[in-house]
Amino acid sequence: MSSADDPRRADPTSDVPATLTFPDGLVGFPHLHGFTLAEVEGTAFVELRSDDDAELGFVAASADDIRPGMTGELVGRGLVASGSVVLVLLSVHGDPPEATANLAGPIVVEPGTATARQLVLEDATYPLRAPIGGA
Amino acid sequence: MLALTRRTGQSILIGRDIEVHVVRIEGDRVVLGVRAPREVPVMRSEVVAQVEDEVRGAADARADVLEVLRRGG
Repeated sequence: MSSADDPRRADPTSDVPATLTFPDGLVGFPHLHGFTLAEVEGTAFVELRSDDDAELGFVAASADDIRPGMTGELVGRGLVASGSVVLVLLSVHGDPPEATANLAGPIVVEPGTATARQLVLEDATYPLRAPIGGA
Repeated sequence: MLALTRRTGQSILIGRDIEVHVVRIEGDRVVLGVRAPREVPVMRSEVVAQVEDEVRGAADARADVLEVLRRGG
């Protein structure tokens, strides 16, 4: 297989297949089931692009890059299987705009099955708008 | 919508696997206990609504996110 055909990607989600299926969609987008991951060149972030709606996509980051140890915390609480990769969606808020990460709605990817689901965490220690630094 | 009257200590079953107990009533607040299979998420609806708003906002803000990240903020 050539590198161009390789469905796996470089860091920060090197073990995650490029094409993911969300059986239940995302919160607010239950009808969207197929997404493709693409690196954001020159950063540690990725884009999650809908295969069903060309206009729809998200910028995401490894949860552990935003909150070190978050994946382990969720594994410890029985919410995430060991070996899963946890991503968080990024947005911007404020004036001047600053990037934030949605820790309350992390995306859990099972690399072995190329499936993903979004959790909703009730714990206030996982905020909707956690501030993040630059790439 | 099905409306059921329950007292403290009583419960309802949803299917065979999900049980909702009325733990106590404090003024206009009801404390519920939910027993459900681990794979069934139990969430307060307003929290789900907040996450949904944030997810929709993140989709709308994709270009802005990239711009902010690329300038290091």
